[in-house]
Amino acid sequence: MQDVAVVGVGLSKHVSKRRDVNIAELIYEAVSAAYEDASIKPKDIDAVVTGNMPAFEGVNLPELWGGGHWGAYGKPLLRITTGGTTGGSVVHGAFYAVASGMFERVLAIAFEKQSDGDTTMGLNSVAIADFASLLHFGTDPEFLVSAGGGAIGIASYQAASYMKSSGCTTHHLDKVAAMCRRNAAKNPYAHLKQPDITPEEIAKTKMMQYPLRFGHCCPATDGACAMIITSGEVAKKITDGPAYIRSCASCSDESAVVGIFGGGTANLDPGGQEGCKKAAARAYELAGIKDPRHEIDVAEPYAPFAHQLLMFYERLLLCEEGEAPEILDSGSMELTGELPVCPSGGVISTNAIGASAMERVAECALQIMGKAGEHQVKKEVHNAVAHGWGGAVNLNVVAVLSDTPRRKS
Amino acid sequence: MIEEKKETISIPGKWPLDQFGWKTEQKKLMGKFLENLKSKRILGLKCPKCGLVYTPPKPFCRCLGRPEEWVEVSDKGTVTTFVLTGEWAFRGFDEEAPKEKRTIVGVNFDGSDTVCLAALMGVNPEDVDVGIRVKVKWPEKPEGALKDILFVELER
Amino acid sequence: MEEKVAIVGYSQTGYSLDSDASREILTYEAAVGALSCAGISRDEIDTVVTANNDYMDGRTISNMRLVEPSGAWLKDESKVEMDGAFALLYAVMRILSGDHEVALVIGVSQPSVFPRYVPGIMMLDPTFDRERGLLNEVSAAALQARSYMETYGISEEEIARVAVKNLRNAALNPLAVRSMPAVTVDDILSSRPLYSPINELTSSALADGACAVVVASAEKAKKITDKPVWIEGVGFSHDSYLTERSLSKLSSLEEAAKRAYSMAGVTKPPDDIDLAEVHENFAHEELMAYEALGLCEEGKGAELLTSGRTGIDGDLPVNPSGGALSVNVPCAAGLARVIEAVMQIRCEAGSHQVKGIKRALAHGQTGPCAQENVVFVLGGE
Repeated sequence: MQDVAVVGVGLSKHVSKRRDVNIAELIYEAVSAAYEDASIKPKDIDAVVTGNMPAFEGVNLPELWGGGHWGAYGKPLLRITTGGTTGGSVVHGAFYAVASGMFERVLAIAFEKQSDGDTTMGLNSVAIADFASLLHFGTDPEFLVSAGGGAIGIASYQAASYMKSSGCTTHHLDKVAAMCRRNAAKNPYAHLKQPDITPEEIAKTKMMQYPLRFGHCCPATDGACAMIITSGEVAKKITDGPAYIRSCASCSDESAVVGIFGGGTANLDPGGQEGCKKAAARAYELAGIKDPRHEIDVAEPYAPFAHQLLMFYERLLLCEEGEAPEILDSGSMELTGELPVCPSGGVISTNAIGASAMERVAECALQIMGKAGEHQVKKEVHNAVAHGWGGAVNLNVVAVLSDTPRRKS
Repeated sequence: MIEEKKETISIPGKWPLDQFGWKTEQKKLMGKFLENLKSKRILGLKCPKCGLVYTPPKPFCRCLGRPEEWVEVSDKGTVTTFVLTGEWAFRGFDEEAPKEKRTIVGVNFDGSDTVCLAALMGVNPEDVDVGIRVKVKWPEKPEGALKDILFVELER
Repeated sequence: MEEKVAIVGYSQTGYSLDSDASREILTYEAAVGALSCAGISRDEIDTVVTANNDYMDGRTISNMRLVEPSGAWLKDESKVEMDGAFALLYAVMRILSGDHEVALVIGVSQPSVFPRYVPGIMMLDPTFDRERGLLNEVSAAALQARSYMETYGISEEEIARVAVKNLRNAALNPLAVRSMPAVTVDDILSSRPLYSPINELTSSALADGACAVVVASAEKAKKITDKPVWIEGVGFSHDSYLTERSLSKLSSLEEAAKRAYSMAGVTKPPDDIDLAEVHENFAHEELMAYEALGLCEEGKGAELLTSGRTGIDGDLPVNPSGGALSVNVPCAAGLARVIEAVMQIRCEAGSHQVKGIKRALAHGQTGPCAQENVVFVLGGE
């Protein structure tokens, strides 16, 4: 096993509709920025790992025709797509490609051009096959429509049970959203920047599905992210301060709430997130982090909906269950706090679905490398944890990054 | 001379999902489940390896066992989660869908280890909470379809 | 590569043209079968990698509902949206990293569910090729066949002989869905034309199904089985888009093979390899593969076939299982080639067993005109 490090990060402009570029060109923006950041040339890359959510752009395996724009032709290439966790899974793929010893310099790409497709339809297609069966077995079509399909529906079911078990209130949701949007205002690559937004203003936005208001939810963004991931040896030659990926872990739980196999036991408590806890525990164990609460300096949980920032803070074992709301109240999660959460603004401010989970890792890397510019946190960053969820909130990916490698080199 | 444009040209396309014919060989299992709904009985299928009871029945278990024992499950249960429908629900699949607000609850029927979605009737949204007890509101004559257990009310 | 990773179990579900089973059940059967073959329980699996394609499954996040049936509940799970052989490659990387010891790899799809040409057409350049409506997987392959034939002077009869060989071999493989023990070149040439020069019988037999493989680190492999099949080398590569490359050669397959051979210490493929299972979606691809794999000189694929060496009784059998021409489950066919090669090495191939196979090659592909390829070199004890 060899050490794995991030030596370059590239992000495209993230807005709701990139009408000025097509998919390949959008990715080119991110990829060329990554090459420049790492001072590496396309010919030096040994392998490419790429992913996005296929339903939004209407292209099956976009790298087949777009690869030329990214320097991917003639290289070993792996495509990994796992829904919302895609970006994180792509990082995992690049991690293993290097950790296995098979490759030294890997280009990881994750993107989404949601404006090319219909986001609602795309997300709903996750359940269309199940809906077909449900209708066949005589469910009420009006009920199906109102039960809501896709990731959004699941999150609202989760909000209710999380709020019950943790004591999180709608006011906490407002505070989370405001904090993230203010952070996003300091991030040139974020989508929804609201430097002066207050929780009270969030609380006045339209109710989407109790308890989630419009202000508590992520936007649909077009964007791409690219990372250059290399072995520890190569990293040392390229830069003085790489961000090492010490470990990756994922854990998948039963699918459902909606669907013919909606009878998964995971949704007895959709806020339970056993999978996330297990993935986090494993990632910390491999990374040599024994006390995440005190050893982790920055966290980037994947929270397109406000309650998830608090919920995943707990499930990432950064505090006891039910403790996150009071930690939020204490101010510890702010950019200037003891354990800043989503200094980038998080997914609630920018969500190009396929790219989002990778951007969590990229943002942690930037914080460790001290390259986060205006949204760099106050404290010194040694260790960070990045997370992604996907599917019916049943897929989880975690990565632990650090300014030192997993083993002494 | 090629003139560079500021905006891309959009090319329409569609993913013809209406041409897909998904299979669910649940027919045998669901057949028996739906048949029992006619006599207002809810069945669950139990996994011999780990003992989990699935309602509706599932042909495989997360432990890779094969559930095969039918057990009766109560028509009363506990609410594990809920949602008050709003904008998102209305943008489901059907633009013409009724904009009626609903309370959707996840119900764990006693004796089962899974959650079924149902619409909660006759309760004010403020009174809905995780943990309340509900009972299936059976139709007069259940027809042996999933909609027979789709509506629940407070257990008295 | 010294003995580091080995295949310790495998399973192929029954393949059928129109399965009376859901995708989940097919995955479940494959998972249970592979674990049973390896003689281990689900608890011993560290990671699961599935291979499936959203456009074929007709839903996005197609791995979401496969968590339970693939045995991935509360396990480290991922999905590769390419052929199952690439999923195996990813699983191998996971094991070589040292963070995982035992992996389960599953490939699954159901052509009976999706409209035949849609997933392939969606792979085309959306800005130009799709609009013109002339290309799909088969017509693109037909262009490649023509290009190959013209460049090297190969006839349709010579290509048809690949189909004759494979479809006759299929008669010895109970899992094949298209097996024709007495088929002749004339039968092949007179079968229903699709896009010239491709006919129905020179095009693969799409089928529903799933297959799975259990792969483990050396330490675990030795505990699990006394018949481990070592992965001696693996290589993969991604070619340019089909209208931007020369279609007369399978360059990415050549690249992939070179990397695999280098890792495995194979210097003279025709001598060092005892048997090959090649993923041929179309008959002409097998001839092109002979050349790309270095089993013969450039342009001499048809000669090699005619010599009989690649027949099941030859000294370098290729596709004794019947290949994809006799059964092709998209996303699983390449993994099935790996499984067939493993079966040959372990002497478990039944009626189509070839004697004395120590080292075999298995190949998987993804994308129109075999744009992406992965090659495994496998060896027995």
